[in-house]
Amino acid sequence: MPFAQSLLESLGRDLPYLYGPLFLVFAATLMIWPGDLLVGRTNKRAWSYVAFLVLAAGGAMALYAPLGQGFSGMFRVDGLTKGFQFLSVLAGLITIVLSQPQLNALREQTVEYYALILFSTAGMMLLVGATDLVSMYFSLELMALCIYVLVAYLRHQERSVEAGMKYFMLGAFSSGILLYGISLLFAATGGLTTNLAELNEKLALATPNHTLLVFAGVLMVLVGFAFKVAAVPFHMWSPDAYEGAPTPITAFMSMAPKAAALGAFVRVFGTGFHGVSGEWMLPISFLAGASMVLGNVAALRQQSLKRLLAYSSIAHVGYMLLGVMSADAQAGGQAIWLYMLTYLLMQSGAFAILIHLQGKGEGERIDDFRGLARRRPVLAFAMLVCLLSLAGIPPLVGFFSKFYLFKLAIEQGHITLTVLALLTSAVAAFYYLNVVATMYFKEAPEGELKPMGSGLALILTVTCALILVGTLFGPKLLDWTAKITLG
Amino acid sequence: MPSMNMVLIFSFLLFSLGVVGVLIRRNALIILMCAELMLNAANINLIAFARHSGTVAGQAFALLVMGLAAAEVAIGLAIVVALYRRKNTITVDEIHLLKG
Amino acid sequence: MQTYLWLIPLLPLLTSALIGLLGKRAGKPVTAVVAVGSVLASFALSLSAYSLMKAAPGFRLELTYFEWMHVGSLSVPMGLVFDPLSCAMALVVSGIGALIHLYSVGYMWKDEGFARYFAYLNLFVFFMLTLVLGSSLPLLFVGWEGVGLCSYLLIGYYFETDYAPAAGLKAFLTNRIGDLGMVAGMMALFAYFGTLTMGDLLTKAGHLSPEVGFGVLTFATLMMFIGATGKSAQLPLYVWLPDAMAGPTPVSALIHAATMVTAGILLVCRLAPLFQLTPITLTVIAWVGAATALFAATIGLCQRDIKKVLAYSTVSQLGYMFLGLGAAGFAAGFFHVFTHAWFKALLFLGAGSVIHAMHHEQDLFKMGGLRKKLPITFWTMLIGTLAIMGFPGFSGFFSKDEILYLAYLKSPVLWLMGVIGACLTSFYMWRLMALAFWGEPRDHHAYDHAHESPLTMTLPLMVLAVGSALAGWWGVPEAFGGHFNVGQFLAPSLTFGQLHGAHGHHEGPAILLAAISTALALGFGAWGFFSYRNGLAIGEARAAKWPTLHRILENKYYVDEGMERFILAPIRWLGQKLWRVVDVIVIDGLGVNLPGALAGLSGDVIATTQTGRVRNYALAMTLGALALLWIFLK
Repeated sequence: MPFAQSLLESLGRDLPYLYGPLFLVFAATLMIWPGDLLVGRTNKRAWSYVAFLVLAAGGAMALYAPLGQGFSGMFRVDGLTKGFQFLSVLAGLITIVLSQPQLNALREQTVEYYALILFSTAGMMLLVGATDLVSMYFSLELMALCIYVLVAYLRHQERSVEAGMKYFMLGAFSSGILLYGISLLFAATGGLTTNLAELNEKLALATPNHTLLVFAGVLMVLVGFAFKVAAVPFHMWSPDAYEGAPTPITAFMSMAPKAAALGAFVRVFGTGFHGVSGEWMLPISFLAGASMVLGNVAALRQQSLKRLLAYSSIAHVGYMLLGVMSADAQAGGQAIWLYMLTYLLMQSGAFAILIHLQGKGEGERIDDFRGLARRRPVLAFAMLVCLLSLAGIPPLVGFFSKFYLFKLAIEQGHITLTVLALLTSAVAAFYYLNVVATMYFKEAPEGELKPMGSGLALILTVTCALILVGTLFGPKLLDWTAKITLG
Repeated sequence: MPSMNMVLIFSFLLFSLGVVGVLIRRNALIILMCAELMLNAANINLIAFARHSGTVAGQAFALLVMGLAAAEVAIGLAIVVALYRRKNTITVDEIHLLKG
Repeated sequence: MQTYLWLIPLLPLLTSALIGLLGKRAGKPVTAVVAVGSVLASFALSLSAYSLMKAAPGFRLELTYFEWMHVGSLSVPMGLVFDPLSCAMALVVSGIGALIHLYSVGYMWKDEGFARYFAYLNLFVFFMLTLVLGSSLPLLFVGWEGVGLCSYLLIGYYFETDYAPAAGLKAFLTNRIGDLGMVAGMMALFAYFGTLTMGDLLTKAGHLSPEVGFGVLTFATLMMFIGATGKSAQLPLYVWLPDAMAGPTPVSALIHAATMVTAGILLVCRLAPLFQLTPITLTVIAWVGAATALFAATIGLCQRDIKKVLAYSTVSQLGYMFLGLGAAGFAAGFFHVFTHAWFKALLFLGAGSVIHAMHHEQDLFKMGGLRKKLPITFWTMLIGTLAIMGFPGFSGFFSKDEILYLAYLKSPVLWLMGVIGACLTSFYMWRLMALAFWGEPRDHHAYDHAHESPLTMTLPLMVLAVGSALAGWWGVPEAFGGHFNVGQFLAPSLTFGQLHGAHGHHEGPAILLAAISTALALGFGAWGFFSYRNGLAIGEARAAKWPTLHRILENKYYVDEGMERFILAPIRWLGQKLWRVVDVIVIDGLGVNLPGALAGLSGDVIATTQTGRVRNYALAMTLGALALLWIFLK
């Protein structure tokens, strides 16, 4: 049986690259069946601990995976892969902790919730290592399909179901466009390959009458990615989905899939389409500019903090697209990774406070923060740190990650866009400070606030401490990032 | 490659049909079907060009896409059912609680 | 052995955190002792730093603790620099800061947020010391942003009121405009010199010859100056400072008069060798400074709020400092920073003492006759007034005279603007004194309850009064037989080893100019005093005793009114109009509110496009994709 033998050999060689995500998939499956049979209806909370441990173990496996390339060039483990895998796992772990207060309050603890987070995280871990359009597409779908369900998870709440429906419809639409784009690129190579490295060589050589085919394909792939990272004008799902989804899932969406999609974005455009970068540079710069302007301006008038964070995350994506536009994909990936890491810290801190104030998940208005400085000075201070860092005010870490990104963009010659980014980040300071002003300068409403749960408090403490400590070492961050992402 | 151009034109027509359907139909189920149409337009390209180059990778890709489409429909239907239970409608234009 | 000097900025930071976390539990006495003690300790350490600096070669001590930033070719050390300029400024910040801390203990004793207040105040001292001592521009910028944040927090301290948070936001936004200039300036400097460390930058600048025309250096320095106009409240970014008076009065004294607002002047002085290379920038600075000095003084004439008068006076005095810098008199400009810190802190704290006594009444028209009730406040404020008006021998006299003399050398028009400003300054200060302390009380209820402030408040007043009277003797200009010691003291910082030719003094009619401006200022002071001292109060008292005299006095009053109508009223009208037109319409309307409103409006438009209907979203995506295709095909 020479065939079976060679199959086994190659599996033995390649599987170690995938131990992390595969472990998550198997563990999640076992949790649903038969695991769930063994756990009583009232003890579903226990699954949160199991899921947390499983995710941590999967993350550790991915972190210790060997460096290299396998599965006929479909999957590659390098520093960048591990870096973005780390971000996705970290976001997943944070989400599991953030989910506890609301799921307990609403009595909605189920095994499926955690299994979906694990599946989705596995999808992200595969996505950031994918070096072939086929593996990229399927990991993207694995990630997205789970999140559609998670958005609609609170099926008794009208908002949640509506958000899930919108996200799903538009997601299916964009996924169709993405796949059609991939098929066009496949056609442009004469039906030979979808591997990114080979595509890069083939596309650059494409004959002139293939140019439209190549461009249409690249453009459609761009649309698919722009949708996933919510760049203008493919962003319209995100404010609605963010608002309607259960708040921990909103936090999850704003961190994990965004990190993974951006990681894949850099890899696909920086390596696969590098040779035809002349074709997509201008469209991406329009997307980036439009995202910075629209995201920040629209955030000005938001009353709901979740919507505000949704719009501001559109703006942050606009900044990160500057990294995608970098001709040096490695440097671009590093800058995005660092930005995403700091963004993740600030977002999870802000969401921890939001979730604490929300209770059962109804109120989320900026007005709910009135007088927080008087009721809970430490909480307000933590929120202040997160918001100021989000606004990129020096010397907090948010400033440094922005600084490196903008510096890279200037070095790459995107002067106009960088100036636009600077101007719009001044606008951003306005709405973040509006929240600060609400906390510090407005009269507190009546009623006592209950003490914060230990999980949320832990996350808040750690993130704020990291933001403040990172401030001291801010300037070293890029060196460390380089060390990490180079493997 | 005149025949290959025909394939591309055909698949593009199918794709456009899907896009236009998503844009103009109001019934959530029909929109779902139109999205599937877009996937199948891509499948035609994949299979035809794989056949053209004499390799199997594209055909395998198309098979996987079909599997994925099934999963997508399953999830889509589940969400539409949940929607119908809450709102008693699957006309997407009547669903606009979240906006601004 | 010098390493412990990092404690100078870090002590206030540490205590700020301690007070913020534990202040409420520890109680007010402990909080007060810790807060005042830490700033005093910083002051003591600054003194030892000063002596170490004096012993160091080249009067410069640069301590680098670790490399803070290393990106590409940019390397920024985390370090402190002690040279005459930074030592002097650190002493001012921690010294006057300690006095104001002490005063605050009395002023804020009954306030609920006592601990919060001191946490902010100590945080401010930390950032201010970072700004002053930082050895590189990025570190300076950290302090620069930090003091802005603290100022924002402290302006909005009385959050119960409507105007305080709004004023805080206004300050923050206006400062952001300046910050953009500052960042642009830093980028230009880095592009030109390849370093942002102060020492390297100035060493490299020393090898250059002055720039002819408009080049990179002019651009960079102009951008830095825009940053300075924001922080130091110059035209047209001064608008936030008068509103900043919404904060507690000691804050106005510390942040918005003595220290933070002089950061812009400090920045220019720090980079003096660089600014000396760019004549265009210096000219711009001189004219902006002179215009601000004159403009703000006219507005000061017609304010009723005692703190507003002092606020506009601060804007005006900052204008003098920039006028001095623009006339290439960096030492003179800094000398005025130094003297101004004493007398303006004194005046503000005095005003605070008055307000405290009058139960938070700030309207001058409701005061009067407080001389006897608040003797210490009265006498100390009198010294402050003499200092600010430039009474011979008092501190303001020497520093202002030096600036005016240098301005005259640059252009007589600048001198004239400065002198008119000085006359108006003298007028409104004496008007303030007359209205508050002379005459009969106009609000008897408040007057009867008025009482002298506790010792924690009067002690700083007395110390500051001594300083206000004597600080000027540090730099008696050469025209008066002195040696302008300030200039010699600061020379190592300002010229940075490169001698740009000591400015030739003793040319021009120095004594004559000083005599003219002093005489005019005294005249205007007297005028202001006598037009507001009597008025209704004296008229009524004497009318009962001597009815015949009554008419004459009334007539005299009428004369006063007439004089006011024909001479003062136009000036006042102008001030009023300027204030209305420029401040309210142009700057509030076009500068601050319009962009906000526009952005808000477009936010509304975007919100309208977000219809909530999923098919519209799909349509937007399709149109977006088609637009991208169109961009490509074009």
